Amino acid sequence: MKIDAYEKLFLGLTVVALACFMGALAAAVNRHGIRLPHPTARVDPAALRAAPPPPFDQLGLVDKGGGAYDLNLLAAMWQYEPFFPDKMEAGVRVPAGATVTFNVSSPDVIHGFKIKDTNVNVMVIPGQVSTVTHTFDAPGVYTVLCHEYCGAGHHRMYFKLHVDPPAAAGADAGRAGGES
Amino acid sequence: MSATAGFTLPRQDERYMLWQVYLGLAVFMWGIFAGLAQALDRVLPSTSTLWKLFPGQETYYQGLTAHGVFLAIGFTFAFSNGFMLLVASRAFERAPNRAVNAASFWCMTVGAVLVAGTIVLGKANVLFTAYPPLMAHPLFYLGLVLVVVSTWLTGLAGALLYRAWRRDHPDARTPLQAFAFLATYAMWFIASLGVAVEVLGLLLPWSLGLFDKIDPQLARSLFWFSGHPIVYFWLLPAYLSWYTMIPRQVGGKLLSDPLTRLVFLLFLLLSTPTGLHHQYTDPGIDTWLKNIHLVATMAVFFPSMITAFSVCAALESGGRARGGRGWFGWIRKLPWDDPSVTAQILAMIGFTLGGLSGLVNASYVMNLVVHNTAWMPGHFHLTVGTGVALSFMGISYWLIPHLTGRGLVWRRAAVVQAWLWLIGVFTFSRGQMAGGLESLPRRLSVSQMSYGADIPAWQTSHLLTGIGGTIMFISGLMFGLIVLWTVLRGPAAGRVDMPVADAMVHGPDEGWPVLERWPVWIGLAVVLIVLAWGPFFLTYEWNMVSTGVAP
Repeated sequence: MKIDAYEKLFLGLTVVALACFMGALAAAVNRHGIRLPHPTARVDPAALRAAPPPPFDQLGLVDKGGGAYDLNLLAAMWQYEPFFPDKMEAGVRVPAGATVTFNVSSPDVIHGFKIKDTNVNVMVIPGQVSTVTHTFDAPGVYTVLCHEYCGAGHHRMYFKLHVDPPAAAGADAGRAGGES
Repeated sequence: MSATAGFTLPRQDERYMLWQVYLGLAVFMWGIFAGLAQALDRVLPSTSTLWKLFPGQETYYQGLTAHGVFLAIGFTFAFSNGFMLLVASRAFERAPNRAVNAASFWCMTVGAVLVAGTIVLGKANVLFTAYPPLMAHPLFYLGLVLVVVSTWLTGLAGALLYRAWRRDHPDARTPLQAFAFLATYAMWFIASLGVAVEVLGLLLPWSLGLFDKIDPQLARSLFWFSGHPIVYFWLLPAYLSWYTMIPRQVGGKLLSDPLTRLVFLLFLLLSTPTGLHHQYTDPGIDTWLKNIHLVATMAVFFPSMITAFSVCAALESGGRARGGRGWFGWIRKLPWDDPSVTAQILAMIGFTLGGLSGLVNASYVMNLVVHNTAWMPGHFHLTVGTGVALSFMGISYWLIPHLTGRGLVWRRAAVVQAWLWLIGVFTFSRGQMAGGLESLPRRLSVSQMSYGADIPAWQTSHLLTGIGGTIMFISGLMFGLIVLWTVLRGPAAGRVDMPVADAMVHGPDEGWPVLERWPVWIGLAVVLIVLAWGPFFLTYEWNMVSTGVAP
């Protein structure tokens, strides 16, 4: 089959462009360490409330020492427990430089878990444990939100993660943060 | 050469096609009406009395379910069934099996009634993706089954036409338009098996109480087995029009018949091994599996780039034949006063941006920035919402006169309508994409949301989305009125013929004979699917743990 010279050139450039994209992705993964979520553990959704297995027997922030923290959460209709509606705005505080490992699972339906201005973005699927780690270098107030439809109250499901400046830990961190 | 000269399709056969197109357009009007509510939700308070004007949308998510299901499944499937079978029948110069054609229409109608009924009664607020353990009424799932079966029946009608035609023409090349039909429906039949297993094997019996617990992770993967190729099932009827009709409509030449066939075959091969790129952020799927689908997704960009070249070349040849000179002079000479052409060229422009934004979504870790944010609706309102929907509007501008014998009314308004759609979607998608890059979630009632007022970028996003969506609705309403008035009051102008691009630079005889060997291509498609999906389905351990939850 005959393909005209211009078209061959165009398709050649397409292949080159796609190869560049794939190269850039390989660099993002291997040189910069940006990774997709992957399987860590499974859990019985019914047990999450009745007889929670670790790490969900200890909801909220757990200081592991050395600037490392676990934040164990139940993504449920329609809050990230333990941040019930009156605690969503206050949320949780960590110092700048903290490395936080989020363990999230759902006792009911599919939820989402995204932190604004970061690469933290993972689905929360009943039966699976979603585990992602992020180091918060920039102080500010991060909005953590549910980005999968989870029923009539989906638009109320969020909390705030406050990253305090290193020198002024405990000072007013309620101002708008992030690099928007 | 013309595949249509001297053949008349019996009126009764045409009528089922016409009514399936009408059904699609009626569903379209309902869907965009629901869309208006979504647009207004960005700019009006939740307490506004205006919401009373939207019957059947007690909650935002009920309306959003109607919007997604009616437009993405109802409108596209019903319109394609009618349009594509007409094209295949004309190209093969044969009437389709009447019982199969009628069964396709009635399956679609009954399915649409069940789906629409359960949504309007508030028994299926589960959105278009219907992810369990959110549970809808069993009749909702049954309706979806019938809608998909309707597409299978239309595919069967086309396959029967091919068999009968092949008996009489053992050595001839399949007419190009018929070839496009066969590749499209073969692709979709294979691809739809995922959602068929999901609904028939899991969702329907589970909603009937035959078993209590379901595996949400497994159901998602079955859904996305079909959920990515479904976008090519929406798109390929538009490609058929761009490749094999638009060149005639602009007075130009199709660049290459064999390359066109190859493009449709590449979609048959590459559409389905890609679905896991919708699940890059799923916790239950290994990254090496996601890697395989990344490669296939990048590969499927290739036939779309061939299309970009070929379609532009055909437009340029038309513009030059009409007296266009210089690098860009041919653009002005295109028949911009023809609403069918204008709508489809603008659809191509929208689709180009949509396709490029799709590359972002497909790009593995870059997906972390945009997954499930408002970027996504920004992206797919350019692809299916413009590349496909605006093309279908452009096709309707000759198809309705063709099938009814009524001349198109208000041609100038129809041209304005097409431009308005593009302006609307550009405004809408600019708003959605900008919001998405700032982590604004998708599928969410903005008027009711309890956070985000402190994020200025989101406010701009809401405003643009609201304005753009409203403009799109006005454009869609104009389209509906033009079609309605054409049907009711259009001048009895005689039939407009179906456009067939029979002028080509490279004709069918230049193609490899293997292009006609369907067992080879379908076999290859199955092999690729087994390679891409086999490892997941073989290694995945079932996890039936979730009981149904009412949304």
